[in-house]
Amino acid sequence: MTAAREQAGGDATAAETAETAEAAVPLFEAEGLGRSYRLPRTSPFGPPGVRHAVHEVTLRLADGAALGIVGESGSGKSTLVRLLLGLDRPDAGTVRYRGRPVVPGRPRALRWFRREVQVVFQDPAGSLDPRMTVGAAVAEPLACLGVPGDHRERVDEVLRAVDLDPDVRGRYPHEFSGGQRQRIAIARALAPRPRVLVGDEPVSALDVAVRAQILDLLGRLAQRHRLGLVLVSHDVGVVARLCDQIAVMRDGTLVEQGATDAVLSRPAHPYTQALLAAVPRLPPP
Amino acid sequence: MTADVALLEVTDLRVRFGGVDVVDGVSFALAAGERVGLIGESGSGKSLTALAVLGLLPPGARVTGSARLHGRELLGGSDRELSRLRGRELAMIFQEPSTALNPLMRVGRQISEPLRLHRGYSRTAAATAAVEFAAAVGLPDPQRLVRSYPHELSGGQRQRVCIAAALACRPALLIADEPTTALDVTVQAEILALLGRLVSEAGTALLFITHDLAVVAAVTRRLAVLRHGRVVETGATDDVLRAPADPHTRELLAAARLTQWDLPTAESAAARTSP
Ligand SMILES: Nc1ncnc2c1ncn2[C@@H]1O[C@H](COP(=O)(O)OP(=O)(O)OP(=O)(O)O)[C@@H](O)[C@H]1O
Ligand SMILES: [Mg+2]
Repeated sequence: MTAAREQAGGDATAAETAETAEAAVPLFEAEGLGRSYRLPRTSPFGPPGVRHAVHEVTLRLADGAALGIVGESGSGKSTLVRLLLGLDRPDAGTVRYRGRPVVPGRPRALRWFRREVQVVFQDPAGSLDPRMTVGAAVAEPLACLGVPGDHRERVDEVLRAVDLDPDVRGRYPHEFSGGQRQRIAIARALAPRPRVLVGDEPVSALDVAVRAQILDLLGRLAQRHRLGLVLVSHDVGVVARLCDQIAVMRDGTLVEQGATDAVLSRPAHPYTQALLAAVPRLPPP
Repeated sequence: MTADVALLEVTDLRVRFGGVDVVDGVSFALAAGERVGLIGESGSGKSLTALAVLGLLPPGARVTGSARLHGRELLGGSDRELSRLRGRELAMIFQEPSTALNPLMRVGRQISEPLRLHRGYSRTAAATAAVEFAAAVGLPDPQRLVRSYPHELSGGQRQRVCIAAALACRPALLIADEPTTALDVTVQAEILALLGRLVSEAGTALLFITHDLAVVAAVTRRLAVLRHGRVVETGATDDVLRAPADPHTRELLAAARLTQWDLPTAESAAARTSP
C-alpha cells in the first residue's frame, strides 16, 4: 500500500480518499464465532456431551494492525485460527475478510483471500517439504495461486527480506537450523505479497536468542510492508513485543481484549490478572 | 563454583560421543539444601550433565571426570549401587512427566514405590503414605486419585505425582530437568511454588536445569551458564542476571528481556484501583 501511495504521486486527494475509505474496512471481522465438537456420551440414554472449542468470539483486525491472541493449552487458539483462515466451518457466526465472507469449501472464491492472507506455523520443519529446495518451497504459494512466470526474482527478493543469502535457494530444508528454517517459512509466506500474516506459535519451538531474532524480523517486516498481523501465542511476552491489540482466550471465549498496553497494565478480568501474575519475571537490570 | 561443604561435587566432567566432547570439562558444586541453576541454550549440555550425575547416560556415551555425592564417587559405579542411591539420596524429575510414569501402574503405587523399595514400607503403610503424599503435593481428592492411572491426569497433575515420588524418601539432592517447560504458565507457577516449598521442608538440595532465565531467577540462588559443553559463567543468580560478565550470558539475557513487558507503574496501578 505504501507503494500505491507513492505511485499515486500528484493525485493526492483521490489517493487519500481511496485510502481512508479502505482503511475503514477492517481486514478481519469475526462475529459471534462458534465451533463445538461432540464428546462421547457419558450414558447411553444421555445426550452426547459438547465441547465448545470456540464460543461467541467477536474480534476485529484493522488494516495494518497487529492482534495477538494469548491463551493456555486447549483454550481454542488454533481452532480460532482455522476458522479465521477458512480452513474449518464455524457452527455459529461469521468471518469476514475486507468486508467479504470467508466460507470454507469454495477454493475458487477463496483464491484472492489465500493470496492476501499467509500463515506461518510453529514447526518450520513440518511446514517445509523435505524433498523441495528452498527456492521451490518459497515459490510454491505463487505457483499454487496461479501467478504466472518463473518466480526467481521474487524468491531472491523475499529471501533477502528475511536476511538469507539468495544463494540458499538450491539447498534443502534439513541443511538449516530451526531459526533459519523459520526464516524460509516466513519468506515463503511473504512471496505472494500478502496483506496479512497469521502466525500460530511461530517462535515457540525456537531457542531464546533465535526467538528474539525472529521476533525482531517479524516486527520489521510487518512495519515495512504494512502487514496486518494475527499472532497466536501462549507467551504473553511475544504478543507484548509485536502486537498493539491483545485478546485473551480461555475455554473457547475471549475473556478480555483491547490495546495491549492497557490490558497488560490494567487487566480487568480475573483470569488475565492470574495469567499475567504467573509469568516469571527477570530481575530489573 | 564452590560450595562451603559440598553435597555434590562435579569436577572436570566430560561426556563424549564418538570423539566429540559434548560436555567439555564441567565443574561445579552444591551444598546441602542449596538451590543451583544450570542454564544455557539448547544443545549446550545441560541434560547430559544431569544424566551423567544420575548414571543415566545413553549407550555410546563415554564419561570421565568425577561427580561425588557426600564424597562418594558416582561415575563408574555399578548399576546396582546407583539404583540404590537413586530414589533414596538422589532423585530426579523431567520435562515430560508422562514418559517418567508407568502408564499401566496406578499413580498411588508410583508415588509410594520408592518407600517400599528403599525404606522397607509394607504394602498398607505405602498405600497410606501415597494418599498423604498426594495430598501434600496438592492433588485433588487424594483418596480417589491414587487409584487412577497417569492418562487420567492433566500434565500438571502428572508432574505433581512425579514430584511426590521423587521427594518421598527425602533425598539429599533433587535434579530437575526443565520440569515446567511442557506446562502452561499458570500451572508452572503452581509447580514452581510447590517445588520450592517441598525442597525446603525436606532439606533437599536442588539442581534446576532450564533454558528460561526468568524461571531460574524464581527458583535458584546460584547458577552456572553452559555453552558448548563448558561453564562460561557462575555466580549468585541475582548478580549474574543483573550484570552478566560473559558476552554469551549477556546475549541470552538481552534476548530474554525482549519479551518482558513493563510492569504497571504506580500511576497505572492507582488508575486500576480508582473507580
Ligand atoms: N545420544 C546422543 N548421541 C550423540 N549426541 C548426543 C546425544 N545426546 C545428546 N547429544 C548431543 O550433546 C549435546 C548436548 O545435549 P544436551 O541434551 O545435554 O543439551 P541440553 O542443554 O539439555 O539441550 P536442550 O535445552 O535442548 O534440552 C548436543 O549437541 C546433542 O546433540
Ligand atoms: Mg535438555
